Amino acid sequence: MQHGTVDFAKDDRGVLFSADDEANAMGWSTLDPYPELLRLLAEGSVHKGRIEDLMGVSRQFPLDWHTGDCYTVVSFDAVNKVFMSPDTFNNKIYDHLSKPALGDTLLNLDGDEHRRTRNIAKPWFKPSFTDSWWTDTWTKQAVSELFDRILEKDTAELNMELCAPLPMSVVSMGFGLPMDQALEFRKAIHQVMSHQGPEEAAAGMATINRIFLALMEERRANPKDDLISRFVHADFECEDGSTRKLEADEILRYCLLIIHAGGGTTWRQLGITILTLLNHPEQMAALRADRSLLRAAIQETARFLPTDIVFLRTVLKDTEVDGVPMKKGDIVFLALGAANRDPSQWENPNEFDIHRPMKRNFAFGAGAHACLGQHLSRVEMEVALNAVLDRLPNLRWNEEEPAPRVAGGTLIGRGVSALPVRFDRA
Amino acid sequence: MNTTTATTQWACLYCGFVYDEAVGDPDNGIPAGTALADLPEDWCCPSCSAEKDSFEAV
Repeated sequence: MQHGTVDFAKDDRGVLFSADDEANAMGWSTLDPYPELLRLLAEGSVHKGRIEDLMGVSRQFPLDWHTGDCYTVVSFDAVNKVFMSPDTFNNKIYDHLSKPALGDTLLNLDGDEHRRTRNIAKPWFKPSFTDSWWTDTWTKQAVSELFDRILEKDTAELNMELCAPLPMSVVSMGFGLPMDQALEFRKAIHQVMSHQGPEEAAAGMATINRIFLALMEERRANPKDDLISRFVHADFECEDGSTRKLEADEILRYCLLIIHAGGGTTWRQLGITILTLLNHPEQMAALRADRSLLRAAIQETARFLPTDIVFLRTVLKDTEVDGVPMKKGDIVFLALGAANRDPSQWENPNEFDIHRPMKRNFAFGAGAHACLGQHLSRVEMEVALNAVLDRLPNLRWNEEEPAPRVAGGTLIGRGVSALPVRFDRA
Repeated sequence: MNTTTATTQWACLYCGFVYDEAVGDPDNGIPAGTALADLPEDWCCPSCSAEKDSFEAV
């Protein structure tokens, strides 16, 4: 069983793991979304129009082909209604947003096909499995290795030394990707996913095929305790109730989605969590003293500053939301960043408060398409935050570095600019 | 977890799935009328697999 973590002091990250670099490369707006989101929330629960237009930022979702109407839903109850009504609002929109790069995946499938596909990997991401296999086998070891490096100094840039390498290393090891190929593989996924043109996408896919197809063949013959082996030997439930093994291409697409999402979202959210706690030192002290607050602190940060503040859905049949009629084929933008600040659900919603009662929010989506890996993401953040609190005494900002901030896109891909810290050496 | 006795519907904190005690979870062998508190310890959210202590009153 392999261990190891990526070391960005030695390994070239390329364009990966910079929220601003990614946003600039993609042409996304980088304005703070919250003034406009809160304005929309104050003005009504459902608005006609694309969220970018309503917020006055550049359009970033490739919807030029769409000739119908668009709506932006902002209140908690309205967003919840759309998320929880899969017979009326589905993920067909991702046929245009993710399918061109990844083919059919959990993102764009719906209904029974989505259920049967999701069921393949569901057991490997449920809490009992993430708390044991993922945490004990991979996450604790990775955190320990990363902190051994961090503690060689009395300053660190935790975004690059902890938040970025941790989830990428954990998900790579969990899948069985050799660590010396993990960064190459991650860069190749970025080439495929980042809409840089067909040549870039083809080059990325060639790298992915070279690494992954060889691994799948090897695991077919010699299964190991990793996810590639589990995928190769899994039984997929067909429409008629019979079962079959997955094709290589099906496994590849499934794994690309999980590795892409698993490496990116947790990096961003962990960074935002550490930044927000360091900016609220009294709450960080409370958390250090009482770790039973840890799950609530993660939940509150995800509510307060989620990495992605908008998801999309397609209207499947004529309907209405809060009295606003919508037609079959219309597109709905779910402004979960606004819904997570809805004053009908939270007192003082624009304040960060880890002492709030645990309550659901939409940071990881909701309904049938709620993030498959959200439980893994939370336990990774728990292990990492416990180590931050335990192993970095007198943790504080490194005032010699530029002040850190939430960076990245206005609507998606939000993360931290950097996390420059100083601490006392034990 | 809120344990108000009048509550009969519970939402998963992590995916929003609603467990309705009047309906139960027949797909997983839970008959109608089963209170959340009486669900087996290994019962989990049919949608996202969260444990039963991850449900809040609707």
